[in-house]
Amino acid sequence: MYENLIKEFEDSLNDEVFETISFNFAKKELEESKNNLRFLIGIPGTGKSFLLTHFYPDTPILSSTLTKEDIDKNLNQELIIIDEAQMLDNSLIEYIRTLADTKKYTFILSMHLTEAKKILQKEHFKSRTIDIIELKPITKQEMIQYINVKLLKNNANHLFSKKEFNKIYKYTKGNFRYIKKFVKTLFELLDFAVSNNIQKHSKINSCLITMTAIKLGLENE
Amino acid sequence: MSDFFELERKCKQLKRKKLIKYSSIFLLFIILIGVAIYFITKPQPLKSLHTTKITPKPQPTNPTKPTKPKVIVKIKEKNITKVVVKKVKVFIEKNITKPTPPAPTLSLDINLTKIQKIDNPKQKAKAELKTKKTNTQPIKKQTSILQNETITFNKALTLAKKYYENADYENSIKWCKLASKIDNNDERVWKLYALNLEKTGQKEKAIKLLKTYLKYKNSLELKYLLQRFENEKN
Repeated sequence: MYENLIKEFEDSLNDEVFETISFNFAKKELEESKNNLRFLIGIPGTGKSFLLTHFYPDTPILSSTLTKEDIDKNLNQELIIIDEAQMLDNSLIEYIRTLADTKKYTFILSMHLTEAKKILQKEHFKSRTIDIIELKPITKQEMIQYINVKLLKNNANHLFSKKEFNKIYKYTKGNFRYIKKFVKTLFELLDFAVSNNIQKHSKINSCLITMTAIKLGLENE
Repeated sequence: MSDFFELERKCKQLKRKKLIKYSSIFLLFIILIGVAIYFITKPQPLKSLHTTKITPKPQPTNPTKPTKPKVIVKIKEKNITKVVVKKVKVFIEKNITKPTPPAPTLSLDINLTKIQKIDNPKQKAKAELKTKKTNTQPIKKQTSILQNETITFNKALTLAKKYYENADYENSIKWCKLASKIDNNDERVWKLYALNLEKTGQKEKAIKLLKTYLKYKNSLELKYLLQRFENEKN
């Protein structure tokens, strides 16, 4: 019964763009930046990879498992994007920095907020001007808007009350990935309850939301 | 979704835990409020009451606890001494400023008796005994008199009688004198005075007193009393 909605909230990089204020701001900064070394930072699940995929669809995004040779292979292009850059070792970061100093190549390093702060504290980054673009978690209103848009697409609006939205936001804390995962799991539970004729949970209620939070490990038992 | 029912069970458990948590916080809050109210509305301790000017009201004695009246009597007497000292001071001041002493007020007389009571250990013990016998009634009266600071003839006579009944003849004489100052025509006071004198071994004085009264007034009862005294003397 809720299969469409479950599919709708599946986490995928091919998802449609949902433009939040923070997303637009980061996009604009990436556009306008003229620095050869750019840091895209944010807590996990805020949509850094999603932003890079959608903003630079033709540029290959290198993963954190890359080596010096992999970088050298990609030196034929001006822009090099590295996702999860917090996993790179110091020698590699230093190599990227020297390449960026030549002004021939532009690097965009996407990394987690806490690790990025540690890397930026290092001496060779302190003395340089680096563009730091932060992607912030979405607000409650943006989350409500996002869910409602998805529900409207499937003619399933008015499934959530304000109280339930508040609860979901309390658990997910504006983390985009968690929101999608949470709503998907919630619909899976609802689907099970409806298909098994469990009258008590035939509609979305606070117990179903708590059950989802327990399942995702967002609620301490 | 095989874990649906397990999740449901965990959800219920969680709800129960939360309920216990919030209700215990609520209970604690109520207890705290209760304790706060108790301390705010707590009556003043007995010690502070004694430091105030007000003379204490006689407290009801508990017949099941025989030791309690004794304690109460002691407290009263202590308070009375405080009041008495003040009164005596006032009295002395009045006497110095005024050459002719005013008619003695009862409160002063009571104070004097109380001072004697407290200074003399024998009399103190006697007074305690007396209070046991009369269930602290004289003290009740005395304290009430102290509060009012006025006395009627009847009150003085009653006190004199009480003292006489309790074999405290000296105090009885004092109250008789006071009563006679208020009204010296009443033969009851003269009779009681004479009886007191007799008990204290002053029969001569008692005869004189009765004769003086009978010079001016006629009283059959006093005449008989005089006759008895004279017969006993002979």
